[in-house]
Amino acid sequence: VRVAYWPGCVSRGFTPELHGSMAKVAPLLDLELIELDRAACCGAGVIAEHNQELADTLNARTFALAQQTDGELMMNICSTCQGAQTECQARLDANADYRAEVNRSLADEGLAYEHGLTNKNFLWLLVEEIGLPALQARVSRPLTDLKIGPFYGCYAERLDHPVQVAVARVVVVDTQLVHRCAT
Amino acid sequence: MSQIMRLRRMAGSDHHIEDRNNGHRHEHAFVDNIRSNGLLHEADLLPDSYGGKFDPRAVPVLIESLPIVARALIRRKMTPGKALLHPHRKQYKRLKDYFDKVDARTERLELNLYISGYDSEEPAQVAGNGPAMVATGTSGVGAPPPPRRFPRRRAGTDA
Repeated sequence: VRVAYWPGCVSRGFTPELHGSMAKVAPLLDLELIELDRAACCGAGVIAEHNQELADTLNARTFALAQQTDGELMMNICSTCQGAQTECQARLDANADYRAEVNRSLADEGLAYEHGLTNKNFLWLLVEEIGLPALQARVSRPLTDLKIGPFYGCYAERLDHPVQVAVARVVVVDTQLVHRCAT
Repeated sequence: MSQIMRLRRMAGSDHHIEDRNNGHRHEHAFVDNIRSNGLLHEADLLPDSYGGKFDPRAVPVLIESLPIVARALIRRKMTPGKALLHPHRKQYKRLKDYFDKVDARTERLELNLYISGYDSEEPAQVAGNGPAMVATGTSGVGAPPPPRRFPRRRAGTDA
């Protein structure tokens, strides 16, 4: 699967292990990452607190860059990005006038966001695109009885649909591949 | 959450209310951080949220965070250069234009889905996006209200 990959800010800042782990895990899962290296911070909800149009413009720019690639979908590895971007996309997709206004700002860079991008967190992609049985089949060294304290992030917990949090838990409990590859 | 954000925008941008905590400064520090760097430069965010590296309010917070900084250095999560210097990323040079353009407007453009709902001609659910993309709140009665523009009140002007 070719994906437009958004690593976020923090994975290239103080938690570089995230970005490094993703780079190692991707080929094992037949994921081809097209890194969105021109995309900017999602705003983490703070820019939306300052100015909603600005936050939506920055994320529409990211979505437009993702749509310029030949990736099947956009993928990110940051719970905060997922939450903030999902919220922005909901507004952009909901109202054509608002989307057109935001796209007017992107026109200077020759970019435009078109309604209906698929943007998934890596954990959702593991379950929905690759599937847990396929994931389990690739575990090379099960970390049985390993006690871990998973952290899903506030935004993942805040999403309206608890199934997505459940998905994350299932992946951690059932496979431990992510942890194996990261260590 | 959107309603809280809307109130925060009114408080901060229209009425220039500075919280007793560092909420307002954090917002501005974050926005300035992204405007300058494109990506969040975390080392600057903490001191800037307290007024800057040399602000008396920031000093105790920075001292308190020294053990965390030391651990990060030992674990090679960062280098002194990365922590102290600003990265200059050429690919974000034009990003400032977006900030300047939106900030120069006399009105804030906002879309509140809680009030406006969704375009009736648009699909309520985006295929393949999973449950997070399910649109809710469609009234189904006529066209939803358009995005709203709110006059911006600049600091120092009569409201």
